[in-house]
Amino acid sequence: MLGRSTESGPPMSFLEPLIEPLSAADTPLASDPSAPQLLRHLRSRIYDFANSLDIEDTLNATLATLMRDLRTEAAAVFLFNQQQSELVCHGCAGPLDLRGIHVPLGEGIIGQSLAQRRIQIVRDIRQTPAFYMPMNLDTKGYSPRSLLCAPLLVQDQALGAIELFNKLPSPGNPEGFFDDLDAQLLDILAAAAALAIRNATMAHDLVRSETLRRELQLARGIQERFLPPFNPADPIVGLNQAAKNVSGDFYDYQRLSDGRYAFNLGDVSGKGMDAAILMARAHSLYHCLAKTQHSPAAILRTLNEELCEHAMGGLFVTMIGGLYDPQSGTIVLANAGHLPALCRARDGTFTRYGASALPLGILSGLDIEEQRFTLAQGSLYLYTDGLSEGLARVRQPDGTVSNMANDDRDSGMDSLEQLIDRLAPLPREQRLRQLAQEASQLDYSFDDLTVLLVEKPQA
Amino acid sequence: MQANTTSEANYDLLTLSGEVDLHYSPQLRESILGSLKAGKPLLVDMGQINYIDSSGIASLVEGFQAAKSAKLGYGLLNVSGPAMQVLTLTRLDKIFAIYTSADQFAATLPA
Repeated sequence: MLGRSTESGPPMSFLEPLIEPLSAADTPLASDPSAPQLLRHLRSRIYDFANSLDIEDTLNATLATLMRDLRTEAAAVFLFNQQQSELVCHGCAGPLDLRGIHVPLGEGIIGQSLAQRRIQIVRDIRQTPAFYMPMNLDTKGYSPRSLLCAPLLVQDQALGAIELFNKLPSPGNPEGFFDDLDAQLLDILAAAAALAIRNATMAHDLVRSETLRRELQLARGIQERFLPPFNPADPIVGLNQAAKNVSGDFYDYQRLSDGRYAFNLGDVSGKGMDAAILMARAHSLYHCLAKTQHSPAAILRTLNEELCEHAMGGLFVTMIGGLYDPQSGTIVLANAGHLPALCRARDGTFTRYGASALPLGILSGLDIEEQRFTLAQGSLYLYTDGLSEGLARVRQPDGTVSNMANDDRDSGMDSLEQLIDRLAPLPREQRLRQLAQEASQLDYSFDDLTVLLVEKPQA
Repeated sequence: MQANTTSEANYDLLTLSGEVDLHYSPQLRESILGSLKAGKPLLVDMGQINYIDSSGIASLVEGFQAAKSAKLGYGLLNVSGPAMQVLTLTRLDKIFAIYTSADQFAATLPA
């Protein structure tokens, strides 16, 4: 018996055999193992459990091994879902299929085993009201008689639990009931299995995280290809920095067949993949519509109707559409819920062109007005709140950065105008980079940052 | 952000304070939709908000759309200066029902 064997003989006498080659994975445990036999066997099992970093392989190996070593008819492994506070069966062996069964923590034998962090042994299930068997479960005629459960724990982290059903009947145990020795053996094997399951889970999470990172990188690459290529001859330049991998900000411009330029800049509420997908939709629609429709307000109205057709969980797009004629210097702007465009005249005076309508995607039937003016030798700046708010952020004495300078959002635009004034002598590409850099100085990673500049290129 | 929902006679009152940004907007969304899905009109007290970003505004907009669809009362109360600036800049002050007292909102609800 286990208790006696481990206490008999000098320790060194059974450490020696441990360096022997590992036993084959399917070698059964002797019915009354000596201490050296048992230790060799456990050592072998620890290697067996940890043989794969695939979570499914690990669970299957665990079940097969436990059924063989403890001579049981069936076994199931449940993993703990911390958010739902329940155990979910992820693997079974033997005639009973419990896969997909949910057991609330603390309920039933297995739920109690994990909640109480200890082995549960039930010699006779029929006399145990706590046994949890879902009413709609098709057991295909199999009836559990005896039950043994062990929690899967690593330090104090709950990973799940193992459940074993019915010992194989033997002459000395015709009913197939579990006993205390089975419980001790399962206790040891469950600890080794828990480590292997945690390793496999961590490996799985790592792979998934790396896959997600690569997918985000690909998505960001596609977003970057949406941006128009820089051409020094164009009167428009832009800059976009994503706070995360993907951006909800966008800008675009294109030279039309008559020599005018259609341009736009927008910001999708929120960040992340949902904002990025909506950004892609808004960007593509505007780009396509602008080829044939030369009224920015009409394009925004059409775009709004398209976006309103599908509920987007509160997501909306603030956007400025524009048309620039380099020959006459005329600009036409339409602003749907976006921050005011800033026009700096050559003499340093600023004019703000604010929103005349709601953001896009909230209500159909928007009435959007157009604003017309002549740019002449001036500069028109369109930007997202990552730029204006970045300039309004304040670093506190404790090192943290507050979102706004003392409740005054206008201070962001005031600061932006001052900065634009200061940077005015710089060439336009360098000016945009410097604008972004100064707004980023505190911590622009709060938000995406995008800026578009309409200005005649210097000769 | 702190968000606290209390049940008034015939509507829910959601009181917000602090900064509503991307980190907290899912919680705000859950609070708003929780009341509306339970069939309760909702008044959102924004008097103690010192910052709200576009994701927070999106949660308010989703509430507006859900309330409109369910024909439930939905309003904003005591909108603070910083929040009002955002609503004004985006023109969203034109669609939200904005109140300066809870009694005003309660008076719009069916008896």
